[in-house]
Amino acid sequence: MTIIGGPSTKRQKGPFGKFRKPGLFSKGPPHSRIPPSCRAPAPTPPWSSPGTAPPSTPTPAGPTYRHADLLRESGLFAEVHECFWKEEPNFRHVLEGVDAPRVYVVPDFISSGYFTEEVIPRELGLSGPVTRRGEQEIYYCEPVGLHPAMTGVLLERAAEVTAGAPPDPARTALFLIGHGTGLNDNSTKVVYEQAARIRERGPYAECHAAFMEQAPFIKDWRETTALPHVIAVPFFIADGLHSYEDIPVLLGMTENVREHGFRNPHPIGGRTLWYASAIGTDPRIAEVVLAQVENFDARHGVA
Amino acid sequence: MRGTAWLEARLGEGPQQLGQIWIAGGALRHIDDRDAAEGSLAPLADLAALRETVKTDDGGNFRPLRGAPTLRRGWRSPILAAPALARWLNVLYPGALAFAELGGALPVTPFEETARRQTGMYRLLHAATPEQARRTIEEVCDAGCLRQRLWSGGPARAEGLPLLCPEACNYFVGRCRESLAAARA
Repeated sequence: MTIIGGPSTKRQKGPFGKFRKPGLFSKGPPHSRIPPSCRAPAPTPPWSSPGTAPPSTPTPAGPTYRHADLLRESGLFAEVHECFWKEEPNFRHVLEGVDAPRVYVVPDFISSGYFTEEVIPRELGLSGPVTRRGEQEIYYCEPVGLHPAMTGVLLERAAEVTAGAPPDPARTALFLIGHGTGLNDNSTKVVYEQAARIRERGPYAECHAAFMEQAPFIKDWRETTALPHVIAVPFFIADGLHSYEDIPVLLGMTENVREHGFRNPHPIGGRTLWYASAIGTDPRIAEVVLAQVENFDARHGVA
Repeated sequence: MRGTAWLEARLGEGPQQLGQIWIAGGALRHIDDRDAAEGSLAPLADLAALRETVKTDDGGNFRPLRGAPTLRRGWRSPILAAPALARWLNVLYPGALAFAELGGALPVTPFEETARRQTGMYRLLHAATPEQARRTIEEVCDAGCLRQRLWSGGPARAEGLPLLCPEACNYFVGRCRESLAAARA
């Protein structure tokens, strides 16, 4: 339970198809159209004292703020708000600040589960996918992590992280790393689904789902693949303890990512490893938010 | 954003104070910097810079409550039109303008109701007594927040525009849970 939050977005008017301009946020050289304040995270952690007891711990809300800023600057919505579970602004009263008659709520979560199915609907007072409250209609979209567009974001992230010296794709395995838990199948399901989609597209010889706390374990990557080149992308919304410390150790990296940032590649046991920051930090997630809004309209017949 | 029109009307009456913020000439600064020369204050470029500023106090400690009277001094916003001013103020005091505009129509939730709807690790709050809630109010709200509690009859604390609190926030819920867990241990 590290990241909480998600922008609730509201469309102004007009056909929704206009939001699906490819590369709305990512055309040109990587991130060139994105204002400095929204660029991919600095290698230093965006909060100051990790590891202390919640809820006084600053939560890694940075990615959600950056995605919301991008959506605000796009001008596609009359209002863009962000809200969080433990950090202000809280989920609970964010809707009172929204003037617009039509509100889309998009969870900035990697999978569905306790928070998206129980906490967010309860705190926002949602009664289903569509909630009518006075003059307002509130549309509850799926979490960003579930959208097929995430596949493209993962592949672009893998390409970027290896851009300095791209490995031969025929000799490269891509690992998507999830947390893994016995409590909720949904969080692992989404990682398997993305890995399957990438295998179907076939840009790399292999693509595997792997987890920190359940089999197949990421620590066993050397047994999972025999290929000489490996790209590892954490399927998390925010960077934090897991992506800065736990996963690098499980991968066998010796570098301090928190201190040095995501420098690549890493020679490990005669192989070459590239390690990316959490996928949720990617500015293109703002496009996935839009894709989830469009997906909602298509599924629920919103004109 | 709800509260923008309300803010515009208040600014039509002259400069205003909201919590520790001084709003004058379309720009924001700390109330204690009200008379400071413009050149002596660091300009903040955008909302991201403002978020960094509100995140910690002078000692670099995280500010879990945006209503805490520990806002850093020494900065100023650009001159902004009302919609942007409202967005900046919503970072400083989330919900404050909307709550003020709603006024008497703002729904207020008693603590018992907030406690009852908690699940997961916060289910502990179902057992919170009025005495435990009162102690957390003293520690969290009275000692560290400028907002006026509507959910437990708190006094008006802030000067200037109203800074209303319609329900115990999640920071309060977390702190209350901590004290309940400690009492059980």
